[in-house]
Amino acid sequence: MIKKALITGITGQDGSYLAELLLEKGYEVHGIIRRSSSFNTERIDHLLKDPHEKGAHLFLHHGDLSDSSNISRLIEKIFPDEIYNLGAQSHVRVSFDMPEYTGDIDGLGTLRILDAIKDSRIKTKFYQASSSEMFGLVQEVPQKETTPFYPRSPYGVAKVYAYWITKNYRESYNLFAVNGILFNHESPRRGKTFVTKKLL
Amino acid sequence: MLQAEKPEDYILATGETHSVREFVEEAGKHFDFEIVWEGKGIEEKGIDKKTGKIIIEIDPKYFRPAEVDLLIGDYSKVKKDLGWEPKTSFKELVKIMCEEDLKEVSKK
Repeated sequence: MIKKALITGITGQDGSYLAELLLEKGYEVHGIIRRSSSFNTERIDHLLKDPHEKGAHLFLHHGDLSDSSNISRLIEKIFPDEIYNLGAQSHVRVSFDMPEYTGDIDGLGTLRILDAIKDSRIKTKFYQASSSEMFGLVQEVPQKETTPFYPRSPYGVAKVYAYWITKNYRESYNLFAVNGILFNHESPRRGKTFVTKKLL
Repeated sequence: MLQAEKPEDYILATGETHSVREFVEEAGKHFDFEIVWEGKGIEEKGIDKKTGKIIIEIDPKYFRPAEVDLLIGDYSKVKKDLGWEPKTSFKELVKIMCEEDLKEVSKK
């Protein structure tokens, strides 16, 4: 049986690399993209084939982390083995200008996926993209899995909520749900508004 | 992590920390600049030693109302449990990013 993965944030830096990796491993990969009047799939264009063509393994669906029923529908339609939640309002500075939106997408968006998994009773595994921004005003150096969080931005605060709700659903409903706490990771595919790409 | 036996949370990091200053200096090498720093505080500028041209300066527009501290991740748990460790060094990463940007520029 071919494994199926669902990726939120597939058009982003991490999502596009993950899609590549999973396709190489023989997965059928499904990605959620937000509708936009301008093109926003440049990082995955090289992976896309005509979906009607035989041998297409990458499929894109319109959706949004703010839309619970859309998320439920996609999960029940795709029936994924693995879900990777890499979608977010990912810019720390912008989160100060849009704190409510950031909380909705990065915090509650994670809950919406977990609830959809729980209600669907599909045995899917869930990966949450947690962030070193949760450590903010650091309580110890270096930071470990046991270091207390002290976020310093609406982005960090939203990610702390997402971290705990992931852990809570794992412990409460026995979901295979995990947090990968990633520290800054840069690449040529980093968004142009992030510091390393700005510098170059 | 999803192929692990048990669901667990992990830190994925390098155990290193690097400043914007270091990134600029390292990247400068790939574009044939030798960056020297002049001025203090938000007036500080990075200047190319050979030409005297200002290569980089500070724009307070990008300041955050609150900043994070010294972020350094300890990846020993994931190394022990799953055998993961970072593969790309800081210098290699800067090189990869600079080379890609040079390719982009020469395409245009």
